[in-house]
Amino acid sequence: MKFKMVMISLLTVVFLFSSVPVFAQVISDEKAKIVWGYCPYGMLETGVMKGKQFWKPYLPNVDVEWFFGLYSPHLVNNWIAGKIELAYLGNMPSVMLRAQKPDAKWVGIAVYPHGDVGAIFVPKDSKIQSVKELNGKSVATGVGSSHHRILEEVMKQENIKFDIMNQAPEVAIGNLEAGKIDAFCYWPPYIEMAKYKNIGRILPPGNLKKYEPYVNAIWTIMVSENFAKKYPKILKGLIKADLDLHRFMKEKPDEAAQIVFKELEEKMPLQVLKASLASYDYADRFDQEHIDVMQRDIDFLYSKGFVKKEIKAAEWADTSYVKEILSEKKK
Amino acid sequence: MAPEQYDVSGVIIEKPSAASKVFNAKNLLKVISIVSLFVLWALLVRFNVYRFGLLPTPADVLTWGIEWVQGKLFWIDVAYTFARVWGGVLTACLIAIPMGLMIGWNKVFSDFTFPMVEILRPIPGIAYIPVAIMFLPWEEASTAFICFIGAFFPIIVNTITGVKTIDRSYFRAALCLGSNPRQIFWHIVVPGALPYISTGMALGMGIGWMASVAGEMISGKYGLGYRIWESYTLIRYPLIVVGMICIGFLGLASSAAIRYATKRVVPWRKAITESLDESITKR
Repeated sequence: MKFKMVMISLLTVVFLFSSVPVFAQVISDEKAKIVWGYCPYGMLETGVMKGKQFWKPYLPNVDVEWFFGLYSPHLVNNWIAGKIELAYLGNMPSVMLRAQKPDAKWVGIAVYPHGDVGAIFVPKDSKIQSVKELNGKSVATGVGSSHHRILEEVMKQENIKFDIMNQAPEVAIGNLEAGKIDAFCYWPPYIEMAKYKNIGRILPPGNLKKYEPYVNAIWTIMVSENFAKKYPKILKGLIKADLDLHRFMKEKPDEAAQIVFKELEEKMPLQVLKASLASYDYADRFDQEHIDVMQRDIDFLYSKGFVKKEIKAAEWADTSYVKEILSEKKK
Repeated sequence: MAPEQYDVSGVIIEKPSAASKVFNAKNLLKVISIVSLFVLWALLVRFNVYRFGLLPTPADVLTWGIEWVQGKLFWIDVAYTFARVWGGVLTACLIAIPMGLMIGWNKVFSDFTFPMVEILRPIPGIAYIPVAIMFLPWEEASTAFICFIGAFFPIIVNTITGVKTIDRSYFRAALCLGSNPRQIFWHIVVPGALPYISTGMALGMGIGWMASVAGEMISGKYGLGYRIWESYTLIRYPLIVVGMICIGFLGLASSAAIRYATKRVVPWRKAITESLDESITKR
């Protein structure tokens, strides 16, 4: 009996002590339902955030309603229509959103690929063997996307000129297969998908790191001023959860791929997802380097007339949340 | 200028002058109708009625429109879309009219082909995009194919209806007079169905323009529909509206051209439409 009592007491102490960090992690116990925009096909890691609910330890009473967008521009249009105030977005759509909604804040970095942003893909029977040989050919990408900027950079650095066709990735895959375009350049997982379908090959050197730092891209976490004011603690919790997501993606890539596979209802082959996620990289900080990358995107969009307003990335970026979380971590 | 007067068998007929043909109460009402639409739009946006505040103002649209029209790109876009739509619709006419005549006239042909038409008819043009990409070897053909699909079904259905509504006594009379099937086809079936064919062509043209936006999603470079999609991804709402207005006007002009041409080719259709106009006016 005495032994039993000791064991129960011990277990209680162990339970209490083990629970303390969990309770200590809570940033806000406010009850809220938030809508979070995401593109699980274009930004695969967002499916992991959805599946693993990394915000729950910090925000136990927050429920997230995920707002699906096939691509970031769909989310931007819905944001402008007032349907979402928080979203994971590609860098160029983030700039376009900011141009339309000056109250849209850039508060975090979802993905930072360090030049590993994709590749140029040609049909398997194509005679094109190098980027230089794309001169005078047609290359599909999303006009106004970071890949559009990257292709322009490639043309500049290689001193060539090719015709940029504005097509959605799924349309371009079909067009490449049918031989209607000479090449395409997209973000993951479309390059991996094309490889998997064996419709072509990647032009050497494989990825576009050769053109770094000019080909860097950033996927952002965007939030409205209104949301940030209404839920400051919740926002902090969400950004902290995103940093946890980065760690998870780096440490457990196979498990992450499995989660994405399920989130996408097994519509995309697992090996495509694994290969795509392997090309991702994440930033554990938010500073001048990222602001400079974004400024290059802004300058490109402005030079093309896609945004009419000059935007200063330094004035737009709100690094305070990430910095606060990182300084707390150090303590 | 006073209208000219003619005395024909004691009846005075007034021939209106060119100016009075343009500047009359009927046309004034049409102009007021269009102006009212723009004024209503401006007011809805200005006072943010429901969610209209999210739309661009007519002034924004005008500014973007002027800028676009002044550039070369606008005319290239118009030319591409025009060629795709007309190419698609005329090809649809070439296939749907003979096919519709045969379905309407020949029972065996009808039993064999009409079920296929009925199965394919409800499928929206946009669903054919993957097929168009894979099936047709040229980029332009893929885009025009979506317009073709849009136009094909109204034309064929109207053609079939045109044949079916021909007074049966014409066929009996022709047979009594010893006409052979070929003569019946060319002298009764074709002219009898023409009023409906022309209606089908005008409808098909309208739907061809509607389908152009979906078709040009895959064009990747030029076209009014393409520009609308590009503006959606680049969040340039005024340009979307400019593109919509351009498609509206070009669609209207194309349908009017078909109606005008068919009035000349099918004068007996004019009699039908005029009697319809009269009955509408009387009501």
